[in-house]
Amino acid sequence: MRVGYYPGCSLTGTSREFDESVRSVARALEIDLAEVPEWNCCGSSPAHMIDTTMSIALPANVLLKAKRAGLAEVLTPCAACYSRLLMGKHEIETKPATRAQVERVLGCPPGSLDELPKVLNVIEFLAQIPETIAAKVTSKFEHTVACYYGCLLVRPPKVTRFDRTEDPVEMDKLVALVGGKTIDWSFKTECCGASFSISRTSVVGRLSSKIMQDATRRHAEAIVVSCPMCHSNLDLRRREINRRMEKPTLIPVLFITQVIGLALGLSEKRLGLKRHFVPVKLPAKTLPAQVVS
Amino acid sequence: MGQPDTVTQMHDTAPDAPRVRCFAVKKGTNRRPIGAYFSQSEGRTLTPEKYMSCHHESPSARHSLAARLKEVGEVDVADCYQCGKCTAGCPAAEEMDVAPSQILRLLQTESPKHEKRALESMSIWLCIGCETCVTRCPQEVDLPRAMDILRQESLARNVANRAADDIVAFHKAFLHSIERSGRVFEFGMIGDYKLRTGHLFQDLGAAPSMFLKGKMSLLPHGGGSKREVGRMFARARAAKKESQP
Repeated sequence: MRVGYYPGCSLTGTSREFDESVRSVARALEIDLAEVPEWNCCGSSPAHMIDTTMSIALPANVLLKAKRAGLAEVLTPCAACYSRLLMGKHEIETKPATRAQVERVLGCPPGSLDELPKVLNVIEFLAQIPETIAAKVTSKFEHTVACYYGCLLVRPPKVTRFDRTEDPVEMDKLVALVGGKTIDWSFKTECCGASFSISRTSVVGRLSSKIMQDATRRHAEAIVVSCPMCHSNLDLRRREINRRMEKPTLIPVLFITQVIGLALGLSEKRLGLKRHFVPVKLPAKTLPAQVVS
Repeated sequence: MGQPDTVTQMHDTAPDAPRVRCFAVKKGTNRRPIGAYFSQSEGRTLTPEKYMSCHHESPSARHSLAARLKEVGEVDVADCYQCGKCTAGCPAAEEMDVAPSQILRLLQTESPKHEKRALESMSIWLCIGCETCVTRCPQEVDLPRAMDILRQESLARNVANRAADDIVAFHKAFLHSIERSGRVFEFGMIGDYKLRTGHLFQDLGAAPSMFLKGKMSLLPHGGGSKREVGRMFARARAAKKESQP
């Protein structure tokens, strides 16, 4: 099985372990990831906030390159890239004036932006192949975790069309597939502060501590995410979070692909587990043992 | 009106004037009730005549922000009936000086004073872009899109709130990094941000472990997209210049 792959900037830097775990899991599942050649940044939040034209042109260029490389689908693990690629595609498909403008910025002939590849997030992608994953599980992930989706995977629902907007369940299903248990909690889609990590760290501390607080109270052993911004805010900014907590917490934050990788028996190194700021130490199997009669 | 701090009225002097009740304003926030803007700009009492005159202030004389939002972003602020759902769910509302729903209210009047208040607000910069408001809006008013347009208009008119300087600097440093490298070069981008803001010592504690964990590279990694992206930025800038008289 072959699918286009757009890692995006975060996955080559601050969230290298997300890239490493996606690639390792793909290899284990015998999926061929074809990286979009010479890809550029999607523009992320800063582009749509202060430069609307570039916020559509940058993702359009990525999708155009993928299309020219013959890729019908592009897997985008980063939730921000996923959102920008989808939004860019949506704007081009629904607004002819925008499309013409972007064609001029890209310097490509009219019609080049027709039938751009389909954009998939990593949960969506893995949910298509549950049997393949289940067949390769070697050591069940027997832990109770909180699946945290954040903003951009599910919103705006008109564009993403992924899962239930206020109470998504697709990631929970994946965790259950590899033997884990997920908690029911209130902060699945609350914002962590996203791109304010550097320019307004206090906002990130306030918002992310609420998320950690709820997960802690409900006895999650780890938080599972699928977004580099959510991950770095909950992991790298833990000191800022703990200052606002009733009791400091050392709950680790894992990417969904790391959870699946562990169940597939992949090594900590190949999953990049050592790159986290909050050490990934999960208690020994905590699911209630089966009652032996 | 048992709790004057939580429910505010637009004005309280004229018994015959329309009494418009605003939504709850949380105690202890720096946000003022929306009535404050009206009484400040239109006098203490807002009579129906005054309200109408401010509402229909020479629409032909200038291009209002509301009209611009409709034209550029397909956002119709008139769709908003001030239910306050956006403000209730906004993760940043606590820190905002003008609540998200109040931003829409200010634009609905099409009064230059109110528009100025919106463009100079901190709120447009504190909006994270989480899309919760538009997801829950019963009228599907695309407030995040409106915020994008307001931010850009605020920069174009050079009226952006100075307290947002560091946020603006971050966005600019980020885009500058893309323009130069094709991708975001985090180390260079953060250096650029520090120079723009003077926050030279921020996060220095985290830097060594970032390097040790292999999360930050000292060299850009733009690949072959570097020059191509630079050209895209140049073409976009030229097109923008052409469209302006």
